[in-house]
Amino acid sequence: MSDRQRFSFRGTGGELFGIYIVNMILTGVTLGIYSFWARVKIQKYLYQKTFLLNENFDYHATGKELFIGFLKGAAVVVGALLVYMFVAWLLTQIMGEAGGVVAILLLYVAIIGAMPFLIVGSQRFELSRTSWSKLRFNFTGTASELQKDFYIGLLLTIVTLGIYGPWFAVKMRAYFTNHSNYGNQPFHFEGDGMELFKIYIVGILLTAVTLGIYGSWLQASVIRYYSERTSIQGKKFSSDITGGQIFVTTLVTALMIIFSLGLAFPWAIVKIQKLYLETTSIEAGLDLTRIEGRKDGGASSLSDGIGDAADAVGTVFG
Amino acid sequence: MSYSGQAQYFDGLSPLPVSGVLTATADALIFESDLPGGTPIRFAYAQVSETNGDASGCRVEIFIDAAESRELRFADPELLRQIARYRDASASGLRRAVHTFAAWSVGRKILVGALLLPVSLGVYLFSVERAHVVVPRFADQRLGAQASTYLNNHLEFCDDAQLNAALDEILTRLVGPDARSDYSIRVVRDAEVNALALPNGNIYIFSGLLAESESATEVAGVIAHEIGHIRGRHSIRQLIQALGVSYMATMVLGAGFEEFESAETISELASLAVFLKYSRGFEREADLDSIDTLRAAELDPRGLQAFFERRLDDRQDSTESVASTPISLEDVADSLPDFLSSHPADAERLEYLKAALAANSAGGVAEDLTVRPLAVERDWAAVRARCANP
Repeated sequence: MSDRQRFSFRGTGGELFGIYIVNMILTGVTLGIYSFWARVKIQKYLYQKTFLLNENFDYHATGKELFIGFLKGAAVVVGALLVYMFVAWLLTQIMGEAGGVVAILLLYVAIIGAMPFLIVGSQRFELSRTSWSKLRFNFTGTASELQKDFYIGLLLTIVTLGIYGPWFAVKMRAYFTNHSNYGNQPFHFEGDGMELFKIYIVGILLTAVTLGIYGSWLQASVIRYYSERTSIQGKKFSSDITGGQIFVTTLVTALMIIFSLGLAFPWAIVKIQKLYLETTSIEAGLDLTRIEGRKDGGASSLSDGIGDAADAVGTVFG
Repeated sequence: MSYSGQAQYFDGLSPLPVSGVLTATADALIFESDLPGGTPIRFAYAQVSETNGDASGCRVEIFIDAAESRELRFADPELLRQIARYRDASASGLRRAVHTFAAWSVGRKILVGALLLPVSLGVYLFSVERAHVVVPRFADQRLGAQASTYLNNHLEFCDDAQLNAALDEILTRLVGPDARSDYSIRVVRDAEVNALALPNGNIYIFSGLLAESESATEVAGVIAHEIGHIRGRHSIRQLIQALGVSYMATMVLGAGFEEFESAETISELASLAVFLKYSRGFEREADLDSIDTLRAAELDPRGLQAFFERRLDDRQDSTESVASTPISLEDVADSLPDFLSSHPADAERLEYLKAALAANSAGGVAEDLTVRPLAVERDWAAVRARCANP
């Protein structure tokens, strides 16, 4: 095997705990408003402590832009809800009881219809606010490119009771990876649904037989599958994560959280970050001199804001 | 006065940094590349978005706009302190306060935050407690209607004409003929000594309670108490409080982490709130309100007290347990809030009821009180027997 560069995570539970405690207090003091800044603090810490080639990643979104995105998103969601309520009322007037059902179906169609736009918007925002060695990532996909594959894939997955799922997942992964760039250098993913399907079929059967224990090994296989098919500048990523590692880490972190009544939560996160990152590597020999920054001035936090607002509505009303 | 030091400059255009000299003057940060022919790059202190340093080195982040940033790294902590000083000197009051806070140690942040926290949460809880004034009565109706449908399908009722007429007389007396249609009352065939009010005005009296009563006035006392819950909007207030606490708990506990699951949703809480036990404060409010209702209806307000007293005696050596809090709608039928065994503790409850009654009579009201007996009082023993316990 050729030389490989491994990712590393250098954060500590103690530091993360400090950030978390301050976050909790300030969120309480500001009655929740600080939560956007809190999120940035955590994300920034996790990224800044992630290293590749001795250089760290970083997160550049600001609490202010997340907050503004949420306010705009909330306006959109409330507006959409009002439209929905009006349509539902109108349909009930026209069709009686059945009108309510039709309205709910229309709502689902509208939500699924909006999803490619929200996912692409969110991906574009997150990548434009993420950097390695201070050079930003960016996402060049558009919703219209995603729409067809997304709607058809989702429909086929439902119709085939999930069997089409692996092909759909590979299509989505290809779309997202192939439109992600580090500066001017694109990432590349090439996968085959059939391979993933085999992994899942074996995995799901064994998971059922082992009463869920094999789930960790299935997860490890899926992670390795995706990593090995992803590359940049022709240098392949790879993961040597094992099911045993995932199983032990899941068990240990769950016990840590339970026995500390949640206090060990930050230490558990650090353990999980370490596991997933430090088992990941990329082939050596990236040519950094070829890389040039690409600024995406059009990325906005609106999609995330809509997502957050919709989550809030979903959480509150079930 | 200016400070200089060797530094690395990350320009965001290449992943490879450029080496050079960083100089902090009173009005700008200036970086000069070691490469020949480069022009010095200037940054205003207002662009410095983050400064931090530890044993591994110091860094200063420069904010160009949301999609673009730069970074300077160097080893000299004195240079970092100087940059922070210049930045604060050029910043507005608010910015400076934010910087000062950011520079505090975690311990200090926690200490100051913990002092402010009770104030904020106090204001919050105060608002949550009063939030029901902006919720239309319509919400109470909806909440109650849902619960009614459920109860009507899951409980067994005594629909006896004589009994219904008796309860109608009591209810009309308590709320007056005009408001009578806002309420409905039904008898549940169940040996438990219990009564229940839904926010839409539906009242349920259990046959066990009728069997236990010695007069119609006592039952009027119980009904007056239930009316207190309805008038006080205790269900909707309980729901708002549960939501408010759940929201804050989710926000605070999940601070900074996405995907932090909230414990409850409105629909879960709504289904529970109407069936959950009322808080101590709400029971007390309903008890005290019932005295006023009974007086206004020219009924003896001591009926409720008499009922409690007897129950308390019966219970001294009984092991009857308090109904547990239902955890799902399915459990509800088995563990409806126990009218008597819930908060406040019976003895304490009796205490303040007595005090409230005494306070009224001390003011001479008791003497003024005209008690007009209920017509049904004479046949009460026969009426209450119309719904035998199962």
